[in-house]
Amino acid sequence: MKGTNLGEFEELVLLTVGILNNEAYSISIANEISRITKRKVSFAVVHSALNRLEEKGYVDSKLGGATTERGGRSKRMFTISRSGKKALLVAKEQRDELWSLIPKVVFKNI
Amino acid sequence: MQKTAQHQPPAWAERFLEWYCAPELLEDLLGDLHELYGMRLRGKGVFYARTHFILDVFLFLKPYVFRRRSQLPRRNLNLFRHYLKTGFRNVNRDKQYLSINTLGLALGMASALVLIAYIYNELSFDRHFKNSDRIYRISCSTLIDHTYTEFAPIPPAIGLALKEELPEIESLARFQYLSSSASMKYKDNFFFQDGMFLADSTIFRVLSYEFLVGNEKALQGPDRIVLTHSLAVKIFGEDYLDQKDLLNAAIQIQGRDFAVAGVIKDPANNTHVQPVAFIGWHGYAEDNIWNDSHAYTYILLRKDADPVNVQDKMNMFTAENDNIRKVATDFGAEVKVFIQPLKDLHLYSSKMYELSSIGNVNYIYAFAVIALFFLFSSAINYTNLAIAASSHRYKEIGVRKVMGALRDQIQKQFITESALMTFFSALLGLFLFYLLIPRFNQLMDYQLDMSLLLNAKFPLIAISVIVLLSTFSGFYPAFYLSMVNPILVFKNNISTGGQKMRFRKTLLLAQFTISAIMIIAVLAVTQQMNFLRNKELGFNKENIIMISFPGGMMKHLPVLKEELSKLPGVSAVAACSYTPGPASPLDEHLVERANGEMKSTTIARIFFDKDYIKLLGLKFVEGRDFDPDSESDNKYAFLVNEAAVKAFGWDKTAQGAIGRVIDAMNYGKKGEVIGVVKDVNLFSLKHQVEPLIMNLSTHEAPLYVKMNGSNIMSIMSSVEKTYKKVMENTTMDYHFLDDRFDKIYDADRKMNAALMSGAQILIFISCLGLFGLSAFMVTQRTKEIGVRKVLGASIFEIMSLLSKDYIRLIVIANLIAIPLGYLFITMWLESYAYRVELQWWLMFTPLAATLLLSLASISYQVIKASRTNPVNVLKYE
Repeated sequence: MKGTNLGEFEELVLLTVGILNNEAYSISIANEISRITKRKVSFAVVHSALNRLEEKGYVDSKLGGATTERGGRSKRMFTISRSGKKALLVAKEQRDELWSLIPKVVFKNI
Repeated sequence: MQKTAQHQPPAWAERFLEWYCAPELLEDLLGDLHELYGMRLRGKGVFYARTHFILDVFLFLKPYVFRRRSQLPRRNLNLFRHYLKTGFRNVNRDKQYLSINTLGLALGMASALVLIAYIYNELSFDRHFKNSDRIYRISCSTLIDHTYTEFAPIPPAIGLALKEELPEIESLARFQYLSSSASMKYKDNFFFQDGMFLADSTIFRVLSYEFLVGNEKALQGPDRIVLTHSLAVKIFGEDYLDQKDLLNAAIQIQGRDFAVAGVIKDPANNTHVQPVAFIGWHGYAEDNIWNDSHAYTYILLRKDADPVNVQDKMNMFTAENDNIRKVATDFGAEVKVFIQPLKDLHLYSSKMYELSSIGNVNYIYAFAVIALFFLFSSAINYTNLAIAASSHRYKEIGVRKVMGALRDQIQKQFITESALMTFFSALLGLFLFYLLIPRFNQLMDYQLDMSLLLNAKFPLIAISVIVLLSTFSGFYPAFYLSMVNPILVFKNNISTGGQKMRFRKTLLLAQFTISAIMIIAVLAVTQQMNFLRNKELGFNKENIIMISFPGGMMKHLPVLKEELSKLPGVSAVAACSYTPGPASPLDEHLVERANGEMKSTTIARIFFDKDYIKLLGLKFVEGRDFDPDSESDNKYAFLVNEAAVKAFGWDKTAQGAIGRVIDAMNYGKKGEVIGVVKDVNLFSLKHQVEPLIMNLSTHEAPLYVKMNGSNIMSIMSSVEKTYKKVMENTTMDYHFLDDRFDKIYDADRKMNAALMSGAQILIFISCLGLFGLSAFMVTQRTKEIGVRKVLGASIFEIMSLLSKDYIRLIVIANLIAIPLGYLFITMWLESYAYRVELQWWLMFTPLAATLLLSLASISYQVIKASRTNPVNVLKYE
């Protein structure tokens, strides 16, 4: 099967899906990431990241929310899946553990 | 919102995305892109939004977005068998469609192949000689008094000198004609033979002829002859190869003995040198002649030689060689020699005294265009009919799609069907090709045969033409039909109008434009040919025959002339050196100009005896005719025509033409002009009347015999009887003068014949297509016709309803074709000095012809449809 590790950008996208709660679709996600990280995020990159996340089973999607501007076409709305939540928690735990292992002196001297 | 509604993202980019994107991803992706577009439009303007839309479309060119290929087994033999089976069933169901479509395609294919074969053969001329890319011919040119003349042969001494001078020449060979009609004798076999060459022994090293007996050293040694196969058969009989003493057998030619030294295969028909025999040059022909061009000189260059360099050296050589300079001063000429690649001789060389009539590059272009017309027209036919024929198969396609057939499977099915169809057409086409070849040869007086198919390249070309044609004509219908939307089909909503109809009509329009152009071309060429035939030449060419004289029989000429003029029905007999042909017999003369200066010029000259002027009925403008009894007239008198008077400016002086001095160095005669003859066109009507010098001479051939009276046949037979009696029982060889004049325009007449047949076939193909198409159109509209009839439409109304579209189409086609055709025709007519006035009705003939023919071809279907009882078509509603 595909690798189930969570890349840095994928983690970012997954977290944003959570932030946006029920309003998460590729454009809103891309905008939100840009807003928070202050870096330019291309829509195409987000789209392919979402596609990867879905293949790994970390997000679920369903169609809905068509508007006139979209020519009546649906959005693909994303929600974090159960295994997505697990993967996020694992990533957080690992990171927390790593934080806790850094000796305090290290930061003092920088 | 208003704003975004006005500005849409570029449609092509959207279509591109739709094409490559997997359908399950498409909807939301496209929606996203539209939304982004809208945002960018509001924020940064149209240009920014559009460019970024396009950029995004290309950014999504990633594997995960791509359309997945079907997961079904790709090579399903069962399915293929199924396609074949349904294909056969379909073909079987509609035999009329089958026959029309295959016949149209096959005919187009066959005709195009014939033309391609011709072009191929023309382009292959002389390429079969070994090292043909290193073989060149040396030709020469003279520039005398602004008249530039090029000659295919050169003086024999120049060739020899060049071989000495240039190390780049690996071998050099010269040959010249032995006199025409040389007498040949072997045991009791006696006949006259044309077309024999005197040749250097090196000839076989330059031009690689294949030996049946002997080898390439054959001509080394005195008094040798190498025969071609057909001459050997003529001399020794079919089984000459079994003859023991064949080599060294003695043949008497012109009273001199030659030993047979070899036999070569007959030359192929695609070579410009057509020898009958080669006789050893050495000891027979003169080497040291610098001033007469009669030796055809061919060289084989060394592998490392650069032709441009060789040409430069030749220029230097001719500028410095004393002998050439002397000749040049004698003639008052600038003399040059130049080399021409062997491969180019047939198509691009039209010098004086070419060895054989040269090919015509214009034919090749014209035929290439016509071949394309054929291919195009038959492909159009096929496509149109295939689309029309499949209109009753939409339901089938719909059902297939609903049952899960993929688009490429439908495409495969239809491509299989059209492959099946084109395969039949190809077979039929090859058969038609075989039938058309003799017809073409007859029309064009050409020699194409099936040996072309043994050559490796031609079948390859033919097969690729067939495959390309089949793919092109089969691809569109398959592609088109696979796009059928099943939902529309079952809602009974499929439209037969709109886009598709327009495409088909455009094709039809192109087809009829081509036909109309061909009709215009044929009409104009025919008119011009008739015009030339009936044009007043200024003399009477009816009922005159020209009797040729074999060499060595000239001594009988006075007797024959005497005897013939005694015959009843023969009104005049005269001898003249000239036989009408495309080229005039040019020669160099020193001529006194208006101011009394003697300057050299190249001008046509003929010799005739005292009766010639009377026989042709030529009129004198000034001066007098030759006096046959006067010694001085025989030796020192010239006649000229009006064109010559104008050319030399004599008409502008008080002295006039009479008494002007002419020095004919080449035939050693110097004298004065004694009379001026009214201009008549003895040469081609492609040119204005050329200046001409006329001389008195008694021993000239052919002999012109003018007959009068109603029964030409019986006069002819008595002429032949007299000839046999006087000429030691040889057969009389003669031509009618008017035939010979027509022969000058042979090339154009052949072109006309080819055009005519081409036009017929093209129009036939077009009408065939129209016939088929109208059948489908009528079937589609049966119900409409039924309803209209019920509501009271008359048969005539229905007929005009059904033909209206086609008539409009054909009128438009003619509107396009007429100016185009007119343009071509005026361009072609430029090559004639005398041309026919194009009549106004010429423009309406193609219109009338195409209209009539197309109405005739749709009429059957239309009448059938208009006459059906509406009850029959409407009772199931």
